[in-house]
Amino acid sequence: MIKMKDSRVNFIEKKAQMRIQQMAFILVLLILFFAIVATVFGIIWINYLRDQARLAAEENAWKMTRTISGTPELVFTSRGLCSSCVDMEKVIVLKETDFFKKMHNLDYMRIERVYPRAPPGECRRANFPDCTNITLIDSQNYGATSTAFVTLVRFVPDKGGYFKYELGKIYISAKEPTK
Amino acid sequence: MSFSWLFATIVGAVVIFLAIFAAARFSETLIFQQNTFTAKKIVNSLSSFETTFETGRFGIMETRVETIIINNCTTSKEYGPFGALQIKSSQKIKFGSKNWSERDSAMISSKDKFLFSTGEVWGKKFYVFSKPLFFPFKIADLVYLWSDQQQFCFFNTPADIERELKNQKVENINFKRGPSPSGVCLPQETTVCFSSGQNCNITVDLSAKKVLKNGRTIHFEYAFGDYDQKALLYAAIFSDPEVYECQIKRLILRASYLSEVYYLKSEFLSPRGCGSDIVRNDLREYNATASSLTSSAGLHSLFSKAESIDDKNERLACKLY
Repeated sequence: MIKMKDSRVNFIEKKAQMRIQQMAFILVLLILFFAIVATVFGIIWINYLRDQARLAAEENAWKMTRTISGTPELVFTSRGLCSSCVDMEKVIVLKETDFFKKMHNLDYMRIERVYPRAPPGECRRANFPDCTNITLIDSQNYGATSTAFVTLVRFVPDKGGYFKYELGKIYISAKEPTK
Repeated sequence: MSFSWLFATIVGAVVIFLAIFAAARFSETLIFQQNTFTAKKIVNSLSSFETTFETGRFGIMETRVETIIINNCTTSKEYGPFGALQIKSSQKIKFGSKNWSERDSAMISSKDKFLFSTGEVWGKKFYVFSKPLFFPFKIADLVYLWSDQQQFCFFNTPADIERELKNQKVENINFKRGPSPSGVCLPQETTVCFSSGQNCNITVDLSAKKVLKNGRTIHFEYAFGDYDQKALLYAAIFSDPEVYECQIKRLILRASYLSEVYYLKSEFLSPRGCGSDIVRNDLREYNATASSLTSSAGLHSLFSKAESIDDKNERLACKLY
């Protein structure tokens, strides 16, 4: 009788332990499940935030193409008829500095002389104005560029000296926020 | 109650508690993210107020909920060649343990914007007015910000200032005249007096070029240009003294840099028959004066250098600017 009772008690104890083990196993699976869901959600959320940051930077770069010709470092005549013209001589001088790189979150910035056509090539002090492009910020990898037409102005010493107005285009690319 | 039921109840309670805790923490993160997006949008929208050929621009920014805009400013070169404007924002969302005004965003910096306002501006509608600053060449666009919670009473305003602000259709500013502002200006309005008197929150002394507010005196100068002379005056009126002094230091840093650029331009053009030693000397002096300035009180000495440059530039056959 006592032996039967002992084996019955043993059986109940083993069953209880089995139940506890099952419960622990379920708990571990549950936590693992929530951890995987949280990780997947986190990855999606971070990608969304990165996209939002990139869109904000691109929107800023796009707005800048419309207003950059009026910035004090580029503008020709502060007051008067040409207050949104780009001063080519200032651009040439600023090309030798890293001012625009420090000032604006841009990957790429270039001004191209569109009309009248000029000989192709990068502008420097030595070959100006017989050149087409003035690259202010250069990099190997840059994203999509926003562009805008601008009026360029430069001094021509001939015939007593006068200011010549030309058509130009400005190219700007925003820096990736994760860089 | 059997052991398994008891165990399941305890574990269930722990899981539910952890879920609620995680949700609460996540919502705080979401609110921080939302506030940061708002601050970034505000800084981006300030680009729309940059002037080209206009003498000024006025516009309105509206938010869906009540928002605080916190205007910080730093002259540290760690943030940019001319310091930086730093903006934080917080929106009125009734959730969580913190008061909504304490739940601000990440700091959003802008190196090329100059915003003049009180340290904290709150409301749903924000009025933005901008004017270019010429000293004597263009230094920057100054942006002034106030909200629908800030009403101004301009008392005994000179006709040209009143005309300019009315032409720009600037809102939340009332123009009153009389022997004393009390009785004509409402108690909730910020009184700006252009003649000495009592009961004025802000007193403007146009002849001494000083503005007295919050017990502090800040200095302004008349800028150059037919329609843009009062850019610094408006900055002094609409901003806190601390914000004004910091932004003035940033403007002076930029003015100093621009004088170097014009100096280099003049040197570049000199072999081509354009450019003048006299102007270059003046630019060098302007740069030296700007580099030594530490507060708005020094604007008067910089003005005399600027006047000299402007006068000589006007007489040049090929103007520098």
